[in-house]
Amino acid sequence: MNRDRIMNTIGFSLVAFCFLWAAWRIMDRGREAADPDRVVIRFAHWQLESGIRGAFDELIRQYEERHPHVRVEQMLIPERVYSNWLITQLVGGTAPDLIEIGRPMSDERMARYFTPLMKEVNQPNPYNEGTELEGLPWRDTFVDGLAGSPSYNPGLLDFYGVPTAMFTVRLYYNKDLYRRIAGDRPLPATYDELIELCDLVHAYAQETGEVLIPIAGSQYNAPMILLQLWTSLTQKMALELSTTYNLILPSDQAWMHFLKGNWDYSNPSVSVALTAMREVGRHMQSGFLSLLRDDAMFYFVQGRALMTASGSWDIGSMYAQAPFEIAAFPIPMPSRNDPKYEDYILGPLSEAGYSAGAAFGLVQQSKHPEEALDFLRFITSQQGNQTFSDISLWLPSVIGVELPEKVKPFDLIVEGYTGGVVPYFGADGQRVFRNYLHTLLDYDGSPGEFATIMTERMPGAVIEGFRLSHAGRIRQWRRGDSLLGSLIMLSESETSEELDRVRLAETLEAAVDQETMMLWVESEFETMGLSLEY
Amino acid sequence: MATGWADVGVRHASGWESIRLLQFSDGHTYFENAFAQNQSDREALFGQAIALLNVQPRTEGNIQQAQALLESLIEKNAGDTYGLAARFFLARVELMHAEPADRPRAITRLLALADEAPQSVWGELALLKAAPFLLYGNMSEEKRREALHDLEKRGARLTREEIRRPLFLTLAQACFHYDLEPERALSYLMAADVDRVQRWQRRADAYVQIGNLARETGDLALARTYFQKFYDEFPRDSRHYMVGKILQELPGNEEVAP
Amino acid sequence: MAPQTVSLRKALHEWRLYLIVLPSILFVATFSYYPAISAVYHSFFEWQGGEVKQFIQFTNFRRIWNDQVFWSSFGVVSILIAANILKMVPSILLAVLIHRLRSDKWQYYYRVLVVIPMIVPHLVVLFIWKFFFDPNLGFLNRILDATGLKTVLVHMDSLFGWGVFREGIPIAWLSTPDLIVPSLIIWGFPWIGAVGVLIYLAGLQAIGTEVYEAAELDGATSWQKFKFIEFPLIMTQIRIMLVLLIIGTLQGFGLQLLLLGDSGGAGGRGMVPGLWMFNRGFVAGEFGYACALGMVLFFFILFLTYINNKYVRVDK
Repeated sequence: MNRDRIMNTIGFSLVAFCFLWAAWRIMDRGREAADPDRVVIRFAHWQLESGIRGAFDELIRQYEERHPHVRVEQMLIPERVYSNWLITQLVGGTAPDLIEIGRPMSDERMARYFTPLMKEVNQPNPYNEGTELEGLPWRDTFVDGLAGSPSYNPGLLDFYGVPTAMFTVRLYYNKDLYRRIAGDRPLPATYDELIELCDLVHAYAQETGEVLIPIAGSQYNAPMILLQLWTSLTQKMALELSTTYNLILPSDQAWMHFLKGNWDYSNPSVSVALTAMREVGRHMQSGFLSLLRDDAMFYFVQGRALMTASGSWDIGSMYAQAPFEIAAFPIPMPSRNDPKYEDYILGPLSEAGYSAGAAFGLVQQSKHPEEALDFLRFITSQQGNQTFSDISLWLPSVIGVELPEKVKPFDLIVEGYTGGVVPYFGADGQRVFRNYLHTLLDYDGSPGEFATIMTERMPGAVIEGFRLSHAGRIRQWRRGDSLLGSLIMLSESETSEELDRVRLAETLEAAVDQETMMLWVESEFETMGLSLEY
Repeated sequence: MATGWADVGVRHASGWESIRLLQFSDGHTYFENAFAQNQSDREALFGQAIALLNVQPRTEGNIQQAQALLESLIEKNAGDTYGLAARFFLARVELMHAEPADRPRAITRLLALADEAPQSVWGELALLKAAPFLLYGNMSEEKRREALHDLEKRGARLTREEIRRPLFLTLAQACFHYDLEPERALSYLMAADVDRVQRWQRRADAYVQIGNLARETGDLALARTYFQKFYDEFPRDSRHYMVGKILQELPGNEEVAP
Repeated sequence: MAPQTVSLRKALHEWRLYLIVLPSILFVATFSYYPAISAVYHSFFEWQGGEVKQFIQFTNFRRIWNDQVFWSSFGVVSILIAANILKMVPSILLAVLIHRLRSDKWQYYYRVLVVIPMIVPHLVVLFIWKFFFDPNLGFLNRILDATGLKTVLVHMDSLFGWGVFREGIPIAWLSTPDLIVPSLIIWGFPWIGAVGVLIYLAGLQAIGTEVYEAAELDGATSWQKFKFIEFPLIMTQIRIMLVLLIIGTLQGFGLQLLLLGDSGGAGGRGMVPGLWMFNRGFVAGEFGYACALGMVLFFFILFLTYINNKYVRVDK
């Protein structure tokens, strides 16, 4: 045999081997799936953060020990391709039994492919027997009561997901570096103390010649601090603008007030907020607005920054990557007792209304829905969620789970107040805000310059936002008519349940908010001589 | 809740279930087939029309077809459940589905239905759905108050609480949006019997609104009662702590009797 | 040779050949033509990307007429096209230099050297360049500091009043509005694309040696050989690359998305038509409008391709 023939044979053999191995794997899976004595449940998610996979692996091990005839497979899908992968799997009929929901998905798709869980979540979770949660409906065992998205779908008036974690945002800091710079000084509890700390970092860097920045920022991290400042310092302004007596100013009402001229960028609240945002922004690295999440993380774990803002979802990754001791504390906001801010701020922002996430939905195509649901009950039992939290270092979603030490700083702050005005409205508002944030934060930027540009450009963006949201309401209204007809007829049928009647009542109530808001927006636009049409 | 809202036996529950789950094309196909098997099946005809309003893609042709189906239901019998339902939805089509919409005509139709069939679910729904259009828009404050007064009287006569409640919530919303006196908004919220609001977010809102309105009008006992209800029932609401502070600061300790 | 007409009987006689071609046709139809036809269809709808859609005739196109962001993005992309045309020069020059090497072995080595970077995925290259542009840790700023060019830039800034280069302040290439377009132009330095070099090289290698011998006998210099022999004879390749470049630049947005984000960076200075299409679709959820934007872009590209074919002559 000559050399070429040998090489060709090797090449062909490699290809043939790979093909045969792949074919065997597929057939093996099919055989497993066809084995009546063996149940295989697959669940998929996009949480590639450190610790999550290990936490689920441990839960799988524990579950399989209890249920030897069941095998559970975890599928990790990168976030970037998750939405596309999900649709392909659902449409192709090859979706796993449980899928993490929470990426944008139309109500139609949700209803077509996922199983509503109203009945199930109103039953007790048997895996909570022997605990304080025994006998409670499954939904009431969650910190958020399954009240919000993605667990509850207000369009479909049903539950479609069961969550495994809560999420909050804090300032991570380098403990070793903190001790060197600030010694025994207590952690900053107010905004002014935070700025003082930042000044200490600059002084230390100058003294030692080290390249250090107080806060590692990026287009991902920086808004966590900046927008919180804005929302806090506009709390009183929001209450004053609200005409609905419910202590909340929804974003569409806030920005309608803006279009009507009831507030603008010269408002004292806004000026103070912009000044604070600029002040804190100057303590982040130069050009941070163009940097990505990983860039800020890189600065921080390299020890070039004392602090960085991020969510509790990053606890595991932070601890895994940082070669130094880290901890976290709430992002300090201006104090209501400070005469500089008392006219603008009510107090710390409340996290009581936060919704749990990392929720899993049951796919209608599942061949083993009962077993899949049972696994879901297991991982969201108090014991299961404790295991999950201990290993993943994520905030638990279930009541009564003891927080691991590292997670305690991320616990929900419930003694707080509602937020102020949202800093932008709609996709175009967000684009304009982001595009011109540099005029506030740049070296030669200023709150005045930012205010001038926003005054010029934001109204057009807000009008676009109202056009889009108006079109969305009309779509929902139209859909609601068919829904109303079907619910009334279903309430008539022999198989009608109390649930159908509850849904009917909820639909009629929800329509009040939709219809009145839509008509209000129309009438306000008409009064202002603006059009909602293109 | 009253059983038998539509006072008619329903044979095509699975078709309606498809529509409820927003699978409009599936629902339409189901009702189309059912009608093909029995051309006197008014439920199937009605189902086709309701599904067509949202079959995708939404086209003028579909809406016109839905209108035609509804008109044929009325033609055959305008007084039975399906006839009344068809009148209701025909008005809704003119209001929100057809391009261009004809709101004045649609509102006239709805009010006529509400007057002619006040006891039927469709008549009551017609009043509910006409209400926002009578309250919102560019009109004088006097006219708006007149409309509120009229709707309040008619609303009190509604027999189905699931329709009466959202009607009074609508009246309250209009007071908020047009900055009318708090006493009026408060009276509408009390008439809405908010304890029985099904959507928890709306119920939470209503409790806080009543508490704040009562505070403003000087009825501190009422304010305390509703703030306390909110505080007890909604620990996971972002306003929980705020309401707790308000309760502490409210003078006295009376509550109204349940 | 004049094209021959084939009878239907003869064509159908070779039916097996059609079967062999069928998978490719299906593939192209499914993954190339179907998405394009779907985009045309959806451009007449109000569509949020799911199953809900409403036929709205030409409303999307009327809206485009008044879309200032879209039209101003053509200004940015025109600058990038002009820059990219100039950036073709290094590839052409390198191909000529490789072609003129006398040693076949060294020609081969240089071709391999040019091709090896192609192994690195394009996305990775973009990420590396993003890191180059990092104000504090990036390679670009460090080179400028180390070579003293930063000081030169600072002096020029004070002379011309640009307001972007300051002593002691790291240059924020991607978050300073006035530096965004220059950054998009600098990207890819030294602008030697392997595909371009290989295509030009293939064209150059088709030139017969007798042409060069005749030129040498006439006493032509290197520059004259390039100007009168090589450049005209690779015009076909240049024209192909020009068409691909224009289409790629007009359609492209991956570079801008990665470096600047979906809103086009500070001041929206990096907004190009493709990125605006992406923004409308995936950020604002207006997929129908995004399809309509795509349609308008398509006609632009078609028009420019037509101009290119008509006026960029290839004289053999």
